[in-house]
Amino acid sequence: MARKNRNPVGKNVDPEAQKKKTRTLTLKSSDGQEFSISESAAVLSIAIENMVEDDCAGGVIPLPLVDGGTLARVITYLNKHAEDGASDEEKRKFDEEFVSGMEMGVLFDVVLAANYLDIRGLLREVRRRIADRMKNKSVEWVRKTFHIESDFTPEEEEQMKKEFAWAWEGVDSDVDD
Amino acid sequence: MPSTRNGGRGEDRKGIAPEEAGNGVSQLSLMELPTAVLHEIFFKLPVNSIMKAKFVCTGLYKMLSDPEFAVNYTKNSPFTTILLCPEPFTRFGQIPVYRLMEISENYECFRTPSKLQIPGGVDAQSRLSLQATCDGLICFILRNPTADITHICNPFTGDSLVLPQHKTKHGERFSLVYGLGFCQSANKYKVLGVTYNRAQPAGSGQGEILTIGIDDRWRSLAILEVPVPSSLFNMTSVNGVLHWFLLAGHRNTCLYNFDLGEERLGQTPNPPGVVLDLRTMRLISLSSQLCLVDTAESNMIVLWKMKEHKSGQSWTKDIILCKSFPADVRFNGLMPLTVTRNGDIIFSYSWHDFVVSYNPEEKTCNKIEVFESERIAYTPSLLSVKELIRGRHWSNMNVLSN
Repeated sequence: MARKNRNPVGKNVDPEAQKKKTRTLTLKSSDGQEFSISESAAVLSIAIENMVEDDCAGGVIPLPLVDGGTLARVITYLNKHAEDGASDEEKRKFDEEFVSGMEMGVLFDVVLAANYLDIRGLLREVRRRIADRMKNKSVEWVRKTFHIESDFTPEEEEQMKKEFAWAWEGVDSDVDD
Repeated sequence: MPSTRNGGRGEDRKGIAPEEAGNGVSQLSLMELPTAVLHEIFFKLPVNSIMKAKFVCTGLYKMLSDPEFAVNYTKNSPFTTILLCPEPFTRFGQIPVYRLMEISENYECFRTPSKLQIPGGVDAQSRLSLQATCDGLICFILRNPTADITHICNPFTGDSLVLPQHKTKHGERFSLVYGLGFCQSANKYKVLGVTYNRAQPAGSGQGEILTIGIDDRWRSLAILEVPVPSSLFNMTSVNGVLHWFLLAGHRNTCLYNFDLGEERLGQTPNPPGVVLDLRTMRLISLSSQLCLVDTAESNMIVLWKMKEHKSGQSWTKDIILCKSFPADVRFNGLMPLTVTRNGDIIFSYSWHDFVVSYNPEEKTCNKIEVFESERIAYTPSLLSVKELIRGRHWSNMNVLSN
């Protein structure tokens, strides 16, 4: 699938783009960790791009809603997508591997960060991964994996199991893949 | 229906960060994700998973039952869907179980059984006859020696609506056929019912029309030419127009249409140079176009597609050649059912336990196992009949405040 970067690095010879590649920004996580990142990679996040444009950055961009571990992951993603000469195919493969090993908790943290930072490609990838994990799983698996407690009454639960018995049968093993 | 309690913890939090967890992983609940993100996740899931997720907690039940979610789900769903029927004629005294088959872009399949609810059940002398489908709705007749009762239902939400009795005569000599479609101008679903004398199936019949959710009785139409009764689906509904074959005598078949908006009968010109033959031709709706499928030749399938109904000039011809199919897929008996989002054509394959997904560009095929003998193109809806019959555009109106 072709991905559209707002700044197609490599094809662009305009001097402003060149400057963005060499200029670095510092992103500061909620727990005070600082990360350096090229501007061209950082602005793949629409939220960061807006901060840079509004010049409210002042060198260090605080991201009080993203913890260090999650920010490090997001930066790995941004760097790959801003990389010179990385083909669409290469990026697609990277995206797949990037999300495939993540635990559900990590996926949640990354999806929240991608939503907050407005990184469309990453958001799409993580949402898809979360959805893929839910396919063919039991009701119990969804409750356990997503930390949800049933708040149906025992009578309601009984009724649902009777009326929609199929929803409790023939599902994939609850052991996570 | 379960009451809604405080299940949706923080449903509307917009991108609130996880608790300070250092580099550790937070133990967020799914319900703490922003609603827009949750919706997008569920758009990628089959109806099968949506229905299961409803039973997880009252918060998800509420979110996934919301009509606005349901409307957007249908618009965004990447799945190709088919309704599977166990056999063409259902048995006396039985409520058949249909199955929704959802096929993903990489040919994963999900099957969900229907939950038809018939008030009072089906007695040993009655049987159900499927007549038409449109937007998740199905229309069936519960045939009984004393009276035929017509139902409109959503087989997956389970709710149904009994249509009023017909004014026209009943009895063993008379039969009914139905067409169902959505009328854009009225923003309502309409049903065309035709009563005809079974002894003269190729004759004319009495037409009646009903706007679902508006009319409380059938409105009479002038004499209508009756469609040729076939095993399944007498009328093909495309963009608010019903189409059917009429056998008007030996080797004299023609195409009729009924515009549900104008409530007017018309004759459709044949594709240029084509003599209609019921033995080898079918009418289907393919990508919202009327399509006449001709399987007379053993080495090709001809698809005549009509861009604008009623205009003979707008027929266009597509040919699928036998040799573009892989050698291990026998060509005879293939009948197109529906088209996937990426342009693959799904073919039903009579007498075989599979359907075939054919990619016209790469000329490749995938077989998908299906044991039910009847396969119908069908788009499921998460909306109940009550919600569906309000029309397609009502979600834009201010009805979500409840």
